Amino acid sequence: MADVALGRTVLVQKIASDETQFRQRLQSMGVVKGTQVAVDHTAPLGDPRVYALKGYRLTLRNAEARHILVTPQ
Amino acid sequence: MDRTRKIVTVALVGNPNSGKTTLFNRLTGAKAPVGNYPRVTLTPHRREISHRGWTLSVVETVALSGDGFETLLDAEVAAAEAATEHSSAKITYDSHLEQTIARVSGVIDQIHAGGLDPAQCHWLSIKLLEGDDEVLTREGEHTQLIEQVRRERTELARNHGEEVDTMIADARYGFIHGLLEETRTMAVAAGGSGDLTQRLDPCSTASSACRCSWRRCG
Repeated sequence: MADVALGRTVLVQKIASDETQFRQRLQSMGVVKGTQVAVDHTAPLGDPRVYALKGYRLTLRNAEARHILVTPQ
Repeated sequence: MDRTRKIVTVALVGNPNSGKTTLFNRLTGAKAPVGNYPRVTLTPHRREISHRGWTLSVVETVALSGDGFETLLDAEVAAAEAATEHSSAKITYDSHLEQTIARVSGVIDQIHAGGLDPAQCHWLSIKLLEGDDEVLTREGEHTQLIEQVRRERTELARNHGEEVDTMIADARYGFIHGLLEETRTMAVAAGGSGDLTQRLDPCSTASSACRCSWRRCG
C-alpha cells in the first residue's frame, strides 16, 4: 500500500507479515480483507502517510504500509 | 453493569492518539501519562467516579469539548437506567475454526477442572487461538495446552491459507458490518438520530474539520 498514489482508493487483501503483534494491531484497527482504504495525504518528505478507512484516518510509515497488500478498488 | 448496586463500567473508545487519556484524566481527576505519539497508554486505566447515585467505572475515553462532559455523564447514567437485560452477541466463525475453538475450550475446561464457566472457556479458547500475548502468558504454565494451541493454529493456517488471527478479525468485522447495516436502517427510520453521529465524526477522526472548543482536536 506504500506505493499507491495519493488520492487513490484500494481494497485490502492481506497483511504480509510474520510479526503477529504488528498484524493483530493493524487488524484490530480495521485493516482486514475487503476494507476500502484511500490514500489521504502525506507528510512533507513522503513518509509517513495518512490513510482514510472505516470513517477514520490512520497514519502509517511506508515501512509498515509496505506489508499491506492491496488491489485497485 | 450491576443495576442493584448501581455500578456501570464505561469503556470509552477512540482512535489511536485521539486524546482518550486526556479526557480520562479530566473525568476522573487522574494523572495518567499523555504523549503525542501512538501506544503511550500501555495499561488501560480504570477509575471509579460517582455521579447521581451511580458508580461509573471508567476505562479509556474519547475527546469532547468542555460542554460535553456533563452531557456525557448524564447520557451514561440515562443509558444505564434505561437499559433492559440483554444477552451478549455471539460472533460465528468459520466452521473449522468453530470446531477448533470448541475442542480447545474443552481442554481448557478440563485443565481448570470446573473452575471456569463455559463462556469463560470459550473466550479463553478464542484468545489463545488468536495468539493474544497476555492470555498466552497467563496460561503459560499449561504447556500441553499451549502446545495443542500451537498445533491447531498451524493446522488451520495451512488448511485455510491465512493466519487464525486474520480469520478471526475477518469474522469480527463481518459481524460489525452486518450490525451497522441494521443500525443504519433504524437510524434512518428514527429520523434525525444520524445527526449527532455526523456532528461527532469530525471530533472522533481528529481531523481539521473539527469545530469544537477542545484545543487538542485536529
